[in-house]
Amino acid sequence: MIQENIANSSPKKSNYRKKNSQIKKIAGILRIILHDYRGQIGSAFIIAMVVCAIFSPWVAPFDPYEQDILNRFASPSLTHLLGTDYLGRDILSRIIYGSRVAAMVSFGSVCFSAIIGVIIGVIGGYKEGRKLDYAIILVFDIVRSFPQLILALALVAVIGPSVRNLILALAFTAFPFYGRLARAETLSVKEEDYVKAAKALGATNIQIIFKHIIPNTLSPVIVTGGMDLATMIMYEASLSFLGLGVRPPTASWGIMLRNGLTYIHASPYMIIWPALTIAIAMIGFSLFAESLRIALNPKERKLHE
Amino acid sequence: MNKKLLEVKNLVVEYRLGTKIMRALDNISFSIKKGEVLGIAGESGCGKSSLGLAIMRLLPRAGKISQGKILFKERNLLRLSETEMNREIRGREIAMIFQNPLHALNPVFTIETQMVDIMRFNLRYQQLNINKKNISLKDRAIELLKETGLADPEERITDYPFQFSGGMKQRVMIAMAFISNPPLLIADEPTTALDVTIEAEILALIINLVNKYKNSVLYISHDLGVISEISDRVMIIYAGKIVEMADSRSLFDDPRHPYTRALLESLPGTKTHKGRLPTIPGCVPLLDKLPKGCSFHPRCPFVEEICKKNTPEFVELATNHWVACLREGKLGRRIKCFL
Amino acid sequence: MFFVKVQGLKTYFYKGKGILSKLFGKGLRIVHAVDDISFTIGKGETFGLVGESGCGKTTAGSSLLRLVEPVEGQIFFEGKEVLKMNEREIRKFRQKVQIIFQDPVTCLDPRIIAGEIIAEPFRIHSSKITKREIEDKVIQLLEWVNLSPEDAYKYPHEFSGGQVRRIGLARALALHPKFIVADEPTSGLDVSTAAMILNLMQDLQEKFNLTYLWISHNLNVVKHVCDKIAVMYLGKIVELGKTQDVCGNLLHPYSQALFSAIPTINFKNKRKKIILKGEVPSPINLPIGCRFGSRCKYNMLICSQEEPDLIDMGGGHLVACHLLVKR
Repeated sequence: MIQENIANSSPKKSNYRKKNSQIKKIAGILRIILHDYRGQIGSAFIIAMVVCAIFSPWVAPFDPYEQDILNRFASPSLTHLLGTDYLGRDILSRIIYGSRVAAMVSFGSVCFSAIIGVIIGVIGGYKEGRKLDYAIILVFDIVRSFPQLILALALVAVIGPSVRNLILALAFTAFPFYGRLARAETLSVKEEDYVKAAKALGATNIQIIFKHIIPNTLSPVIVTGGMDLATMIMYEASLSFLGLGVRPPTASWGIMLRNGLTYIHASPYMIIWPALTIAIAMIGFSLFAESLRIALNPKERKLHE
Repeated sequence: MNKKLLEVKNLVVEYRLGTKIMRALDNISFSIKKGEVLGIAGESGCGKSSLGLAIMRLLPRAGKISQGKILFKERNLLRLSETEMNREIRGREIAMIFQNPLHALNPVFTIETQMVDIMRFNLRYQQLNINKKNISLKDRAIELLKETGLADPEERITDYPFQFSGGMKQRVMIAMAFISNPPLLIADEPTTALDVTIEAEILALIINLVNKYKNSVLYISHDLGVISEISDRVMIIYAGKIVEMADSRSLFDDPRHPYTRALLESLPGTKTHKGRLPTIPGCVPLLDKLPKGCSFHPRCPFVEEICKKNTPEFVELATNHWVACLREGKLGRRIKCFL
Repeated sequence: MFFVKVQGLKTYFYKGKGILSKLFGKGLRIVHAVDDISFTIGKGETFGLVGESGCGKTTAGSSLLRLVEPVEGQIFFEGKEVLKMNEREIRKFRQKVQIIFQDPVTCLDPRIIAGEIIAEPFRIHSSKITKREIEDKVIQLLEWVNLSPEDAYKYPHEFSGGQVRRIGLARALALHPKFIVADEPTSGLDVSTAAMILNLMQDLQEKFNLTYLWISHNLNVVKHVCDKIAVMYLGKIVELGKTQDVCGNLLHPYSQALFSAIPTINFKNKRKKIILKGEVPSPINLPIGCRFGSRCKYNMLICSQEEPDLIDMGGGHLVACHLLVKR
């Protein structure tokens, strides 16, 4: 019953199909997301924001820095769809360019904090009970005990406000959350049989951590990351509002809020539009994160089918 | 005592998963007499668990009884409302014991709370025990636990489920099922998760209680050894249909359906040491991709052309020995082994 | 020189090591999972380790591979002492000794396709192997376990229980091991699938001259497949010997109860089952004397004072029971 001849499947075909299975998996998740109303709305917002961020020069009708003093505090009109600010700059264009900062800061800080947090958390979890683990937990707890915004504020005040520093500071305040999540998952994953099988095959600890443990701890991390995208937009806006984010004249939603507050008696539009944009962006990302969570959790998937 | 306690007629149970509709049970008909133990045997995925749940109307949301009648004491259970099922049938006339007692017992309440709760709200129990008014509910629960062989019931009754071992939890479950002395007991693989020696104890317990109180039992299991020990009659299910039904001894001594034969022949421990075991080629078909004609024909060593087109009818070959096979039991002496 | 020799193996687990446990909890508790077992396995043999849950058989299997570190004892593989091996020797040891796991849900990484799971041993052990060579080997391994090359691209959840076991088997065979610890290879499988796996494992044993340590609680399977059997109870071996000797003449009261409890289809001579009384003692607070004493119907005074030693009753049939010493 056991055949001796080796099957004749060409290597070229098999390579293609190996990548295909990864694509199939991601496509499956995307399909579930796009079938859900939350995913549809959320994806629409994310795509809109990413398009605005990348293609700002083509999407925006005006130059965000172009001033038109004679036309300040203009109400929405056909030329300036959202009106102009205190320097006559087109609000719509500034909002579109502002999405650049928001996108860079939110994606950047989430990616950074997730990568660092997961690696440190998994190492701590893998060496559970040893001194390294206790040290890592201590670091997590110390950083976590500071309120996120205030810690970011302090850091930016020290290292100076800029987009890059904002990303680093926010990433630093967030990495313990991912670390804790990853560590908790690691504690259960490392007891699974397939990890023991890898050990029995002679895999080194590093090989096991990167090949088996980290991929299996990513589910809650991805979901938290999705939700954090929304939160980071808010933090960036908050810090810029306080003057500790990006420097003017760069367009940022937070700076627009600040200016809008200053000149609120002159034109309410200066503050309404950025506020709405921040809220809508956050709702969009949150909806997408929720849909992602459902897509990644097999039990919930069946409920929503 | 020819009166049928339970009669199932043309039962069809379907599950809806997304856009697919799968028939877990296809046109099942059988009956159970009072005091009889009917064993339902089949491999995983054949639909036997759905049968137990369907009778209790406890199918999950995706499952539906689309056709058929379930007559219990000549009442059609499918016509009753949920309230009537709860108040009169479930836990009162028909009780169920499950495979994993860990999941069937509530972990945050003590055994005493759980048992006393049942007693308090079970009208049938109260009717049957009307003469025990002077004994407290807790003491009555202790008596029941003693009957199931639980050691030190007076002390253990205040414990939580996690403090019990698997076998003990199963005893508690059996005690809870017997609170209202149900005429029909459905046992869904109660010993599968237990060690062999504990399994023997629990089987002996069930046989004891059933002999004493004359309940009927619907015993579902994939272990043919267990089925042979406990059942009076046996029913073999394959891909949602009954393929053979007979008295226990008759079925195991002279299996007339190729599937039953193949199953019995592939059990280890009966043949020569280290010999090759006969196996059934292929695997159980997915319920939404059943083959045309007889569901077993792609794997059947006795397959003929007619088997690929016609579905076999249930035919009585010997007294009380029914088979659904187009060859009608003419299989020759030994099955051809697939070595 | 025996192929595998285990001498006085002890593996304990420690619970409650921390300060809080000592102050507020029950303090340090030792689980005597494997408590002084000794046996030998010859090359090409199938050695069965039977017992119920909690007897320590799975831990014994894991200890042989040093997946858990034993506390005491010696393990000899092809004459070399396993517990004293250095890094390099362990690497070579791992290529020759493999394990297949019981639980089909967790034995394969759910995020990796089957082909990659089987390819992993090659990636770990040879850095110079080419992609095409790995693919060829993976396809061949899949063939040996009767799976098709297309199955390499599926994820574990797309397979049935029997197929998952076969993938685990293919992974274990990748490096051409000489010794495989099979932890419950047929548990949870249907009768026909189990029969197929048994046949497959026997074929592979003949083809590659493998030696198996067969861990199972299914006594019918063990009787069918094993050359020698050891019965374990609470971390100790209570009976050991060739299958025909042991099964034909069960001497230890626990073995007798265990084998009598198997549900069998036998209407002609209905075997009377020996029902044990009492519960299994916990492996933390072990009773003094024979561990089976509390449930044994022959319980004598000496049984609660001294632990019985394993004594050869003739022809390599070892039993640990005071009852037989008296005779």
